[in-house]
Amino acid sequence: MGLTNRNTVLVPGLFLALLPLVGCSSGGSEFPEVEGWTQPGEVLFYDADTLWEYINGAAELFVSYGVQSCRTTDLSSGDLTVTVDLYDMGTPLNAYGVFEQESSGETVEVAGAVAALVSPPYQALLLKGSTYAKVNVFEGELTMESGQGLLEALAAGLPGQATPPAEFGLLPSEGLMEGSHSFQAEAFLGLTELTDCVFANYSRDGEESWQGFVVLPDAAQEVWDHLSGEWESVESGGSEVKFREVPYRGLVGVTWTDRGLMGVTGAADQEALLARLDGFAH
Amino acid sequence: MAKDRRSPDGNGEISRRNFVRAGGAAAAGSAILGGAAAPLAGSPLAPEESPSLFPSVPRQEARIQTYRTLGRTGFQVSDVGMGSVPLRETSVVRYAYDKGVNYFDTAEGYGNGAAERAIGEALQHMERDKVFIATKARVGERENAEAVIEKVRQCLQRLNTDYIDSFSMHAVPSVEALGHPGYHAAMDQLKAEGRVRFTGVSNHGPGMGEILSAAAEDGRFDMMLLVYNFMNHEESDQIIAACKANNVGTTAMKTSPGSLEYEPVDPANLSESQQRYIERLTSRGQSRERALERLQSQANRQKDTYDKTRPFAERYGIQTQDQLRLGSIHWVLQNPDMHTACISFTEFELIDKVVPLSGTRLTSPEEHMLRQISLVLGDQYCRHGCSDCLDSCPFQVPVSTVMRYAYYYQGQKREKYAMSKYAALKEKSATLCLDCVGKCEGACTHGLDIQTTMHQAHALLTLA
Repeated sequence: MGLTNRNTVLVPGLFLALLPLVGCSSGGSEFPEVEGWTQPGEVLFYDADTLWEYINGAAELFVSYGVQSCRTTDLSSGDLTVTVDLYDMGTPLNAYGVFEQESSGETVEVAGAVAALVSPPYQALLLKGSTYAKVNVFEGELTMESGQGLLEALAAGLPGQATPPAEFGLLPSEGLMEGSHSFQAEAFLGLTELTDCVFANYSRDGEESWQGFVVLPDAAQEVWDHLSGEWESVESGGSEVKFREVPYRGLVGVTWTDRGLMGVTGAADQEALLARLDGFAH
Repeated sequence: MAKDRRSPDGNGEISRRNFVRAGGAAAAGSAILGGAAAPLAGSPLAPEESPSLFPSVPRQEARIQTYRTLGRTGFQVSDVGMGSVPLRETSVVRYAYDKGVNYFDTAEGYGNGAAERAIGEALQHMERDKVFIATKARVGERENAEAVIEKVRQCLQRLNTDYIDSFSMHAVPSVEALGHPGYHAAMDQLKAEGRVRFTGVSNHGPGMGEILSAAAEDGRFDMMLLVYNFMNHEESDQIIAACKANNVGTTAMKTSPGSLEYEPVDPANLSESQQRYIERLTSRGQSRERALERLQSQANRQKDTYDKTRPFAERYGIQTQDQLRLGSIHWVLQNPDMHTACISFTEFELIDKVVPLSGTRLTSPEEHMLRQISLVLGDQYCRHGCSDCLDSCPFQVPVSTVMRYAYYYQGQKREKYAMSKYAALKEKSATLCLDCVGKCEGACTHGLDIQTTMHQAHALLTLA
């Protein structure tokens, strides 16, 4: 998890002129200018209902993170032609979540972006504000250098902040493994009842790593109510702890604190769970 | 450990004890008419709690019951398969496998390769030859065999396996594209090397029927991935027929469409969410008129979906989106020529809800209820659709129909509807039974006391 390097993924560019124009619409000048690149064709626009017409089943992931729209066009520079998809995810946190899910490639520093990855020679990814940008090469080969240059030019034209979502500040910093932050809107750990979770990997005192998470404040009460009657309950240090087993992954437990609804994963037994949760939440 | 949320008897079905406790006998002919208590709220049979139409209560002990031959591949696939977008948790893949699911559909583009990686991690906990891994990728018009082989190499790497059971051309845009020389050359080579066992095609765009039917008849493709659901099956039925004729495997996607509601657009009175949508588009440089146009277009699509969903929902008594999801999956599973339905399992609970549908029949709530009752009450229950006693009646009173109306009245609490249906029987109603000598005695092959039952039904349905 997190914005770490991943194996390169081979995804060819999609030359937009070849795509059937079903349900999408052209959007005129709705694409930001990218210095050094020309835009030979039109901009196509998709919303959550029509995105599947463009990226097929892959649209499901974007819909689960609340995609608002996708604008896409081809850009050319020299021998290189790329397709650029700009996904407006509604919030920086949603954009971060989907970016992290799709992350693949080598991390590159891009001024004005939250994060950026390049997978030469095929692909480059960018995160800025609530926009997730995906660049697939159609013609030519992308290098680390040209990929970085393109992402920098792209970032300059996109709105939004270049800092990670503020919600990650809800996570305690002690033991947090750098770069492992993420966000899951639905079914965290594969559990229907855990929604809207920011999480990160933790390791304390040399122990095996585990995940700590915080439910976003707006969703916390609803999540807690959902757990009542579903999860087991135990009192620990004057607080109620709800917990259950996650198949193959040990126990997960949550408790209320001054900082919100917080939880930990991967405990081998109840005693270990309570100790881990106490250390994480207090 | 989550609490077991199965029915009191732990199997989601109705035992005689629970049935009686629930007042479910109210639906069962003489038992209800004899004055049993009304259904208890929260009981398994209380109408307002959903009459167990679908086993929407998760059943953790359930396992796949039906395996079908995937065309010429010869592989026995579970009728419930697993789709993998959006897939986040490797443990969910393992869980599905442990329930008997053995077909896993993925693609290089799902999560930009993340879905393949998750399946690859889970594969380490599976017997490789007991599962069928189907992946796919778009193949560009100008890509050669070398490029396709490179795609497969990367899929193999992400899936962490030595071979892929099938590698399909994803979202093939035309019949002509089926002959892609680079794809076929690559498949020939990879099959010879044992890296890919079978080939296939997926499509869910315009022309799906023509493209996939042609692919089925082409002879080079072993399986198809197509859209198949209650809203969109005419075109798919043609494809399935072509696949059957050519012994090609069939796998379904987009199995749970539909919506039970939609939000109309009134430009002068937009809802909060519609207003946000407009603001979002205008902040991106669009005019308000154009944004409204898009909103209207979105609403039209939703209305169309709603209109197509309604008949299905009415037929099967579907009231919630969760029931619709399970009901539509269940509908797909009914077709033995559709070998597996790829369900996007992102959570354990959905697996616990869908796996119990494996190998079971889709019934209306009424049929389901009556089937359950028949198991419990035996000779006290008048069988829906049975007409064995009809010849014994000098007036041809449709006994099972009268009993169905009695069930509407007391079992479903649709009193007015039941009474109006009964009144419409006119001269065929049980009024005739009141003064009859009872020639029907002994005519019920299930031992029901017909005349007494008819008297009671008539009293109920006329408030006599």
